[in-house]
Amino acid sequence: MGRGEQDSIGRLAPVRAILPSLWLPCLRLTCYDLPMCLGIPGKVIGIDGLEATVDFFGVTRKVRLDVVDEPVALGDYVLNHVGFAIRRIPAAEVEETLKLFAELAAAGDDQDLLAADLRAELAATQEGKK
Amino acid sequence: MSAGTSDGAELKFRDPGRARELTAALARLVQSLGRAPVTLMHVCGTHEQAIARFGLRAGLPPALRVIMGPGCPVCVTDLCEVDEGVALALQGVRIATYGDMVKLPGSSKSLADAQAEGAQVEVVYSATQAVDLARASDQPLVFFASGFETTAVATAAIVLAQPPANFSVLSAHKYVPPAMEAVARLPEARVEGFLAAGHAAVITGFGLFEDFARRHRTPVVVAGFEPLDILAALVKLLEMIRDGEHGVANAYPRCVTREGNRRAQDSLWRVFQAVDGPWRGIGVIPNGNLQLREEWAALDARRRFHIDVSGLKQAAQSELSRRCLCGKIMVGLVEPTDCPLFGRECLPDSPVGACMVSSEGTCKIWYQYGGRPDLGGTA
Repeated sequence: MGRGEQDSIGRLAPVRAILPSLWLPCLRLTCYDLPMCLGIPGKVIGIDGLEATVDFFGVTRKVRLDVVDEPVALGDYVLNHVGFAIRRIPAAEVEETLKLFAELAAAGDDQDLLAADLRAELAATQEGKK
Repeated sequence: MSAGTSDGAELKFRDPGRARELTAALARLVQSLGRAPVTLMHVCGTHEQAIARFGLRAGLPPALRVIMGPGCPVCVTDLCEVDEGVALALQGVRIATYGDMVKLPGSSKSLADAQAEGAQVEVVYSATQAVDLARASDQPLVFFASGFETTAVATAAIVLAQPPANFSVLSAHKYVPPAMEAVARLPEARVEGFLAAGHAAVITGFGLFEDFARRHRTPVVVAGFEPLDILAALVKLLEMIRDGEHGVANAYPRCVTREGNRRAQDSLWRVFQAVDGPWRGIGVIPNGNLQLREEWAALDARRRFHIDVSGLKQAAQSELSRRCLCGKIMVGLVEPTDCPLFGRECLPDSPVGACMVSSEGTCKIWYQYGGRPDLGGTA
């Protein structure tokens, strides 16, 4: 599967370029709040038992697969919430789902609660191996 | 009355043409109902963030009220629950919790206050990180867990994954559907339709709301978080009200199914059971709290530790907290700008009520995005 997905993340190159700089504030752990119902989409690039390595707009993180609804394969997109994949996103729906998050990731303003929650959501994943 | 950003130029829509169509449809539909105001409620902090961030209320017809209900789990964490966390911390037990919980006021102290007195309080982003902290030492560690069912699923997964013996959970998890029941029964709220949160419905499925919609003769539409998703869901709700349909529509089909994530539901209900419990500012919600089942007693901080909160109770509320309108805001009876403390005595850095603490609290969202987001005639 997955040629379509490849393309949609390719188009997010500008977001990828700035994301590492957005990433640093996550280290200041007390700054951001808990996202309660926001999940964010990422692409599965590795699987080791119940742990997947997932690419979120160029940032590689680990996500638990304990509760995801369907078997996940390399190249699939999953919706992550507080470090757990909660849904495998059907391929046809990936691009639509990525749009809002790409824009939010680019917002990069500490005062923007939606963007801050997105970063907190990423911080809920574990540091991944490249 | 013209709205604050009447020309829509400030709206950051990906497809402004589509947004105009949808807002025009909203205006037509509200007019066709022939009554004002028509009140629709959403129950998700992320929806409120999106509505405020994208200035959606500016484009709504004046006769349409879109209000936030009890959609902020940190905000509804009861004083007693905070007291339990604070008491444990002051007893010398190491606490790990989500960031918002640290500043949340208890009866007399927050976890931040306990921390200032030397207690060990660690901020984590996930249950997994709390388990990692427990593994790294022999000391007991209590994960003070908050959040609705979406987040409770993560706690459940951790409980099921054999955490170390020094790990336990103090659950402040809440279950949203019973709180929607409570609001639907409030006559003064006069909510004619509900928007359900998309990512919670990823877990529960939209089928969960069908019985609710029938019993309360109130339509429910599951909505995503894109501005256009939200507008489209509002249009759908008004159409259902016009046509007298008391069912559930899924306006977020790319993420939500009728049955939801069965595996996550199984984990959730294997670990937790719904029990009656207090929601801050609202009162006891039947089946509104998620408690660890008997089977997991060894992992339940309430059963494992003697938690004495008596030293934290105060005889009288402070003058400021008496004037706080958080409870009424959370059931949609008043708006943040109706509160005399909003933006004056009550600020994100020095919150009086829980709604100003969390990034999903109505007051914090309104404050952060510049006050009353719709300005429609009352500013």
